[in-house]
Amino acid sequence: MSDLEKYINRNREAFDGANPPEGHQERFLRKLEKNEQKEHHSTVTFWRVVAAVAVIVVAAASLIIPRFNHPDDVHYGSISLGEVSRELGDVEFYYDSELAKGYAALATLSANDPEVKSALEELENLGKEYNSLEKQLYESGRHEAVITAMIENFRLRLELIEALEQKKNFTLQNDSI
Amino acid sequence: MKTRIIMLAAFLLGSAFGAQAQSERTVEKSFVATTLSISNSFGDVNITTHGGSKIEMTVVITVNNEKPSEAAKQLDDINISVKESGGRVDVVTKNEIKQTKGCNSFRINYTVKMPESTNLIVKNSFGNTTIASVKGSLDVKQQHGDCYIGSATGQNNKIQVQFGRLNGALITNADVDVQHGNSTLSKLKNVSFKQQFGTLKVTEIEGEVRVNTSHGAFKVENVLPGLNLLNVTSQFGAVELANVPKDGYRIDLDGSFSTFKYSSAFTVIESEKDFNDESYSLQGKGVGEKLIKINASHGSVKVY
Repeated sequence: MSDLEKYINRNREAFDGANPPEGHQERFLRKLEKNEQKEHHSTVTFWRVVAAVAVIVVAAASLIIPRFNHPDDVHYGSISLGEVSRELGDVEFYYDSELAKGYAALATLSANDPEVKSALEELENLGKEYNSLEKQLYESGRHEAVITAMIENFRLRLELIEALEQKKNFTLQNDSI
Repeated sequence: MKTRIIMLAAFLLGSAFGAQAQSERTVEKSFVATTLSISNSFGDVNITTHGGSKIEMTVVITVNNEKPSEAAKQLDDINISVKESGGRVDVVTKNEIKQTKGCNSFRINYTVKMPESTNLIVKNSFGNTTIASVKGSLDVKQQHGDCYIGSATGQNNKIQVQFGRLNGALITNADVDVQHGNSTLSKLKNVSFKQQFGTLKVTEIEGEVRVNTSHGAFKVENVLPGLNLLNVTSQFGAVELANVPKDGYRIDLDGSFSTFKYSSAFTVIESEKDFNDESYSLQGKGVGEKLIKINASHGSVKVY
């Protein structure tokens, strides 16, 4: 037993009558609260560090991976006109939007009409041929002859729709770029 | 508007290839063979015949690039593979040009002189094919370019053209298939012809001719008396036969959603007309042993 304990035991009665100083409870509660906040703050810091590390890893990967995906190293398989030049991208956009109008107009015709059915089948074939040309554009290293064939493919599809337009008497919306 | 866009695209394409350095290499080969096979892309194939016994081939490879060093490097990436075996020569263009930032501009043009009797197989795309005259069998597959055939008179010919025109003088004993291009020929004899999305114009037909057309017209200027059979199936197009001999032919016309017109020089032996279907059997002077048969759907037929 320590000297302090011996002293308290000897003078117990004197201690029983003493009250804690004013504001003791509030100070005690504040101290408790502070300790809790300290604990919470360390948890938040941990997750912030984890998030920061994740951001750094993703950013680094997005910078490094494209270097490995350079066209010289990876076979993308196909290239669109827009990837050759901005100007050819504009041409592609023009034909795509004209064709979209054409397809929308064809959708109003009866698919049971044999001529419409045949034209729709051929439009599908020409669409597949266009996809094949996109592959050949890549494989040929963007050869000018493939670009010409791609524009010709657009023209053929539009011509087919326009021929049906004349025969079946429907009208494409007359928007222009 | 559409024309303007096509012209703009052509201009953009032209301007993309301006001010470029050119590198060129020539490959010359000579063989003795009965069959020659050429497989090429991005260039023209020109075949002529001569009285000699050898096949003489010249290939000119041309590369255009902004940088002369790059043009020379790309030139090395295009090679001509030649394999000779059992009287047959297979020539293939091997293109290993890699991706560049800009556009590639290169051509591989073949010029061949061969004996007329050589059997010829040609596969070519993104360029034109010209064949002056072949008496051996001919097998041509042409894509994204035009095909001209002076004469193909061998016993077994096959001609396929996609996205290009077929022009020629005389084609006999052949299966012909043309898609998305017009065909203009001087004479067909003993031919089976499939034409889709384009017009087939023939000056003269003879022997046995079978024609299947869709989405395009079929026109014959002169039906020669030597025509024994013409069998035409046509969808979504016009059929027009001019100068049909009025002697010795029976002409059977039938179809649906179509119009039929014929010369009054023919006598109608039988006719039937339903709501959408019509059929006529016509006869010229004399007994009709030779037959012209036309089946049309959603089109028009004119025989005179």
